[in-house]
Amino acid sequence: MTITIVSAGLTIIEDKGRTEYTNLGVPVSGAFDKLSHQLACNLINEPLAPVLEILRGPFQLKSDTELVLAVIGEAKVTVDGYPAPLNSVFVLGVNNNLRVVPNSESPVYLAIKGLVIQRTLGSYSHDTLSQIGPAPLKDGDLFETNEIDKNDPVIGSFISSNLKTSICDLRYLPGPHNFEIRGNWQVRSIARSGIRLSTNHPLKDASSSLASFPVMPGAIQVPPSGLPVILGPDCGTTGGYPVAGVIIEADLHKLARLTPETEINLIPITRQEAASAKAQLSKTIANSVTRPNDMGAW
Amino acid sequence: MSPKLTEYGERSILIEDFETTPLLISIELEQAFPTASIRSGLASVVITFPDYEDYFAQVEEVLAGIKTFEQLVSFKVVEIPVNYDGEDLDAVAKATGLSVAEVISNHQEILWIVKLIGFAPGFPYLVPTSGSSVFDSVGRLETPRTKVPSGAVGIAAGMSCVYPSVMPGGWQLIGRTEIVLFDVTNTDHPSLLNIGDQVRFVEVSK
Repeated sequence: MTITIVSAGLTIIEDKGRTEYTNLGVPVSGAFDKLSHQLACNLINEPLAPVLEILRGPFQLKSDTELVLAVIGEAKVTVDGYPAPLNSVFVLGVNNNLRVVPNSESPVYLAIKGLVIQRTLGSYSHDTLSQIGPAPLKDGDLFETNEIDKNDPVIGSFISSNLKTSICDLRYLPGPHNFEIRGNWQVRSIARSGIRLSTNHPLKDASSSLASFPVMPGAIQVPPSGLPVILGPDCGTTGGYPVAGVIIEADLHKLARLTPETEINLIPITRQEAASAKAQLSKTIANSVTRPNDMGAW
Repeated sequence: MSPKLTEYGERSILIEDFETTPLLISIELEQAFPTASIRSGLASVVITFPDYEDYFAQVEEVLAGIKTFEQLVSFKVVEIPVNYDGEDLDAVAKATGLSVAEVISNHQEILWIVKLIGFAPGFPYLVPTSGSSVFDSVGRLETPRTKVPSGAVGIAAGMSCVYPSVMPGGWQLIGRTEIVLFDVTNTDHPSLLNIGDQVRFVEVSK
């Protein structure tokens, strides 16, 4: 029951994040694209599973027993050179080589049923800022899995909803500090710690520095340059720059899918709108997986 | 004057401009809202609720009910042994107008209090219990170091800190300790220091 990482690429392990220790300076971390991560978990029916976040390929593994797995994201997936499906659960045969090559810089998620990972401070997530959690994967790493059930009803499950959204429209709640940030910005760089924005018209009067206060993923910081930074999952827990707004939770996953030079549109909305966007996304996720048994007799 | 409450993201409220400490407010809010997540800043508190109810009035009511400025819990005093051999000792001496020996003795004489654990796991922001000190005139580095060693003891803006692990940082370094500030294997109490604890630095005898 041993998995061998043949080629690690740039791959880390993530779950929903480490939320219990933010008051001790521990970043939340967790999957960058929480939507894809959640879908991967739901497909294998392990809602809290540790999932591989492949940030750069080629990624390749093999296993000395069969594996039940699912890949979510924009990627080319092959098994021993033959095309394998995205967005569905399939069985990887003994010693077959699974290869995942992301098509873009957006992370790709690989969920493996029964993957055994040690928790650190209650979570499986690797934090790139503090290095807390399981180390990034290396070529030759070995992982264990729990024994799988060959009649597992998750095998053959697939994503049936259309979850395509405009990644360039990012909704936010304005405040707590007053800066007019609505409208178009260009993405300069993307990292798990944050997304740097650029424009020909930087924000003015951005030089104020505040007594450090708690920040969170999605917070739109305004450093003295007047060029905002949208904080990512591995952001520090406190910051001293003003925060002009916070990206709503229902849109946070889009940050992972941005690429440099992309033009984004920041759209201010209300708390009620944010709540209904969250509820709508949760509903879509809950109804997104079709199991083979659901299809019934027809 | 009543504290200022501001909407912060979709489920959080930023609380500022209060006359007591972030710690006392955190304790009161934790009792009143056991399912909420409460985090402190240097002069602020952020409370995050699990749902989308409007809690502004309830939070205001709790804040208005805080009468005592007394500390409700007992705090420990932690001694941190330091080798005063930091790279920025001379710069700190220059900024304060003291000799290097006086910098070292002043740093030990101050009783520090943990104002905030933030920025990175277990990273303490220490302020003098007396409020101000000779280090108020020490600024941050213009260009932060990309790698500050684990255990480095720093000074900036009247505060002191200890780097729990290797990380980038802009505080001026005056020494180094061997003490472990953050232990990820200790799930219940990973951080040696907590907000409200007091710290005394003691020079390691040579």
